[in-house]
Amino acid sequence: MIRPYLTVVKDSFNEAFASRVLWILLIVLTLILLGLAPMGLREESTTRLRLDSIGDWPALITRIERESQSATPSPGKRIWQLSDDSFKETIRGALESEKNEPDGGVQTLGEADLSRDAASRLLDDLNKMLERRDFYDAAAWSAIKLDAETAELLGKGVDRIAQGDLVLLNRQLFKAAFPAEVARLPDKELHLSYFTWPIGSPIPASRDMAEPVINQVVAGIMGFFVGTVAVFVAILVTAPIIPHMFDAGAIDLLLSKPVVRSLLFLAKFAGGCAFIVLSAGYFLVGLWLIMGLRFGLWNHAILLCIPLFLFLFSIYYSVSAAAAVLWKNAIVSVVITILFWFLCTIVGTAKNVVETVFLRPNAIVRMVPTDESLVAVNQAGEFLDWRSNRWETIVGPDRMESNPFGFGGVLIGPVFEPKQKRLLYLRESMAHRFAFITPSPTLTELTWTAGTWQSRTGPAPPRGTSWLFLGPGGEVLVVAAAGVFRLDEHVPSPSKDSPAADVVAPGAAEEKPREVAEQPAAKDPSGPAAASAKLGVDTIAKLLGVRLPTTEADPYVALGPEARLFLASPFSAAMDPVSGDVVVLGSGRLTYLKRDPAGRYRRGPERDLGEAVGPAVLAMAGGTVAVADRQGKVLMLDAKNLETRRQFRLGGSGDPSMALATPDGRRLAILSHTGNLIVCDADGMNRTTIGGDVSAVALDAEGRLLVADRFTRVTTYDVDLLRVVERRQPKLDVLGGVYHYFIRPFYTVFPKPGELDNVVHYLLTGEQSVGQGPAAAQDARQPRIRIDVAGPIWSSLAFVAVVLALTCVHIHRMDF
Amino acid sequence: MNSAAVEVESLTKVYRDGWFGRRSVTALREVSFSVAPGTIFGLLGPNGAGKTTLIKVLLGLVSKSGGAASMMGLSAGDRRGRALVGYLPENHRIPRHLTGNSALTYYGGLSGLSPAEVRRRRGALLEQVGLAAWGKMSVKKYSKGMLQRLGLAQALLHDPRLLVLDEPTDGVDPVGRSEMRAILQNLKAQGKTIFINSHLLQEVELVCDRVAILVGGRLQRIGLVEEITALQKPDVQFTVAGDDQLVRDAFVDATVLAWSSDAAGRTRVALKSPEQSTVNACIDRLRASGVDVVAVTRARHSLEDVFLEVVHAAPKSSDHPGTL
Repeated sequence: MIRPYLTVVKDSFNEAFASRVLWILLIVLTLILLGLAPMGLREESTTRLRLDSIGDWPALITRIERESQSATPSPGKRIWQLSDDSFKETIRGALESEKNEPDGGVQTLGEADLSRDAASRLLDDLNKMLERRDFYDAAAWSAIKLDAETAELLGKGVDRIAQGDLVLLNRQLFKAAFPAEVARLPDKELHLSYFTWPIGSPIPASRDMAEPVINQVVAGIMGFFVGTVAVFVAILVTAPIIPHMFDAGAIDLLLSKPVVRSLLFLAKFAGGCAFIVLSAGYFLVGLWLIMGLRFGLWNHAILLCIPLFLFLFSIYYSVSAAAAVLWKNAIVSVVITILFWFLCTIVGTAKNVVETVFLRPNAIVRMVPTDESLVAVNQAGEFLDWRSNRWETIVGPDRMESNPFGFGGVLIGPVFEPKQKRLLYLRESMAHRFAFITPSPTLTELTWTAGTWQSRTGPAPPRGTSWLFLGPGGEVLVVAAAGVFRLDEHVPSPSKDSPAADVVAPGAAEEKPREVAEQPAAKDPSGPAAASAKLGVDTIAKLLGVRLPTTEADPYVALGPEARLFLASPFSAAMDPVSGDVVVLGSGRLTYLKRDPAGRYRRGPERDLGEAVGPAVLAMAGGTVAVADRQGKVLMLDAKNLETRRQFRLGGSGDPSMALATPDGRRLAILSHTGNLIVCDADGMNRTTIGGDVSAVALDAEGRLLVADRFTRVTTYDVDLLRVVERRQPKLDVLGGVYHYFIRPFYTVFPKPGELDNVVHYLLTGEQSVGQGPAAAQDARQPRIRIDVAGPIWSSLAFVAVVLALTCVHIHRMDF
Repeated sequence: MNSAAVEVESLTKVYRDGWFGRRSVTALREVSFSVAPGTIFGLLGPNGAGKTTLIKVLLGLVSKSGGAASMMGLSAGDRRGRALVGYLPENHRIPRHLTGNSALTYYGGLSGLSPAEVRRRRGALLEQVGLAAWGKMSVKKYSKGMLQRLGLAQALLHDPRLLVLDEPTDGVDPVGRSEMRAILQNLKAQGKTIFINSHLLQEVELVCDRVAILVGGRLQRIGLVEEITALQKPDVQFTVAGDDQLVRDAFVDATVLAWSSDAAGRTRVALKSPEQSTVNACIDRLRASGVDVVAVTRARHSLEDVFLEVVHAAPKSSDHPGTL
């Protein structure tokens, strides 16, 4: 009969309500909620330009200045006409300074001439122009294609529309005129307010874009106020409950009733959780209402966190209850519970420190088979060569540019070019992610010569380069903002202020003087107009320190398409290894670039997948294009028309980081940031999941699957049967042994109350990994830290079950 | 099914303590008795005699070390047996956040009663124990006697067939004790079996049909109150008038408890449980000496007398359970 136990639980709620501490805590939580309640979020159309609205300042000011010299009316000329002297002076000054810049310099405009202050002044002037009714000039915008909304506003008449609409119209006109320069300008912005007072500047994001950030803030608030404060208070308040139950005169009365001891204890334990149920429930329901009513975000996962925090408390309370049964003393219970709390923190921290500082930097994140061996790149940025059953270092980690903790730039490539036996890769600099004006990634070449790997820096690739491929003819291709480029066979030497080239013998790094060659002509004798006419791009060879798509004299030969892509970096791309066709996905638009026999690219079918697709990963082979989005949805598209052949969902939460297809297009492998590698047929059938900590995947020359896991182990699988063919596994070092055979098993079985914060994060955001660095949300290749959602729940659940079971056994054997 | 309400047979309990139970205390030694249904049974004994341990064994709070014990025909500790028992522990503690009413709801719920059933019963019950006006008051404000009455109410709430009361009149004033006696007699009249643990001997003597005396974990006496007291030979008091020396000579063979004289010149001599032959010899010698025998009376022993006699006579145990 369950009534006696329900009575105990119900009485615990009565006891909690009778507790003054509960009411004090509820009052404190009410004050916090009242403090948060006036906060609000309003989404409005973006009117003003912000500093980060302009993605390419050099191109913008150059184009304005160039168009100002032209006799033909154009948006740039119109802006020049409307601008005052200081605006013109600032632009001229920046351009003049660039002309005086020593040839070959790689300094950026932002660093050299156009300071943030100067850019801000230009921006203020531009914003003032956008408020003018004479900004629009029909002749100037005659060649510009306008969208329906802009055309509709224009149709109403510039003189007749309200000032707000006017600013919106002018902004749209500006955006239409300079699509590449303002490619990431969002249409919506968010205004954060407290009561009616605005907080800070508007956030250039839509509500949908801001939702994950807001959810993370909410998760933080919940984690602190409920997961820490309320749980700690609950531990203090509930500690006497079990000892009081065992008081002489109380336990006799209880056990004289027709109840089972163990169930009575468990009911009392459950009743002890009443305190946290009431306090957490009250706070989270309040938070949920505030989020819904004030922010318009009805995230029901907030309510799901109530049982989660209850579970978190039950972990600590199981220890408290066991101590109470053994010692029948509330103070001892509290002390032991706090010690347990510290122990959990120490165990979790020790594991995280060992992983983050010592092991994860060694995790292989890229693999490329060479003609003789297998080269891998680890997260610390080390290039490793598999020789004599161990990984030998080719190039040591570059502390400034690598990303052991995820804050560095993305590694693009490497690819192995068999003809010249060289590895090529691009790496975005640390500054790339934070810079006011982003520099180009750096190209590095590693050549196998006379038993050593020689490293040297190559020419900066075109602006917005995000992908590096080896074409079907063995040529090196890069995909940049404007299109596809081919790196000429001769890779020019580094500029004189670039880092020294390294010559490194496997296993023993040593430096040698770099070779210096002539930098190819940076100035284009034919001028930008000529280049534009030739390549269909409006740019010059080396503008203001930033390399742009240029002429045939440049080491990067533009292969098209002629109709410029305007891709905002980062974007996704994939190449069919057989045909050399490329597919790119930027700002939600999928574009197929068909390669002709001459190796040039022209636009093929396009398809709008919407911004919601996020930083998806692409794979292409055998006439099929695979698109795996952040949510784990996989679209299998027909390469001919980009129409969906089939779609399916990956297991788990998706979150793909890499995808590849076998050259025949029969098999597809998608690696997620959670460490799961899913291998399936092109139609999504015969799905197999490999591992749980896979960090990289590649195909070798025989089309076999190379899978890196356990940080440094690489296993070769037969791609059809997924049978293990070969395994490259270096001997464990001492730390690795300690980690694998002691820390990790102990951590696995140990309760992980601290990691339930990650589960809160998962519930609120739906993400099973946390992005590292500012660009993680946009680039699927950026490292993300996996969130183990199920592990902490299961281990903690097992811990609670074992502690309670042992306590029940003890109670059963006790005399009272 | 056993007909006895309570039956123990060679019941033994040894408490063990310390590492690997190296220290032990024997609380009950081969205790055997039974309690007939519908009677009031009193278990007497000094502090530490093992009375509470015996009750706890019956209720399953303590495991037995040997022997057998049953309650209402079910093994000691059986949950079904406990459903038939109302228990009032000594120095019971009722959670401080409860009121009289909510305490009854709580303990009624533990006994399997629905809140509605408790509400239906509690009015009459609180009236019966004299707490009708205090049901809504927090137990924090209850006196010791009120808590005892509330404890009795909770024990009666689920209409048990056996009532086990451990020091039920502890802290209760004389009026309350009288009321409690009336309640117990009433319950007995309803056919309930009542098992009382007490060291207030007069109370037990007044209400109990049968008593047992437990000393040092051993059962020393058991039987009807009259039987227990009758087992002890009564004292005899002589009232005589005559020469003081002659009187003293007449009682030379007897154990004299006390001598006293009154203003009228009569002497009272109390003999300690004399044999009838001794009494006759004393009378003969008094008559032979010419001393007037005014009166010879036999004084009946109280239960307390017997109890003290038994306690003092009991062998001291080396592992006395102390306050168990």
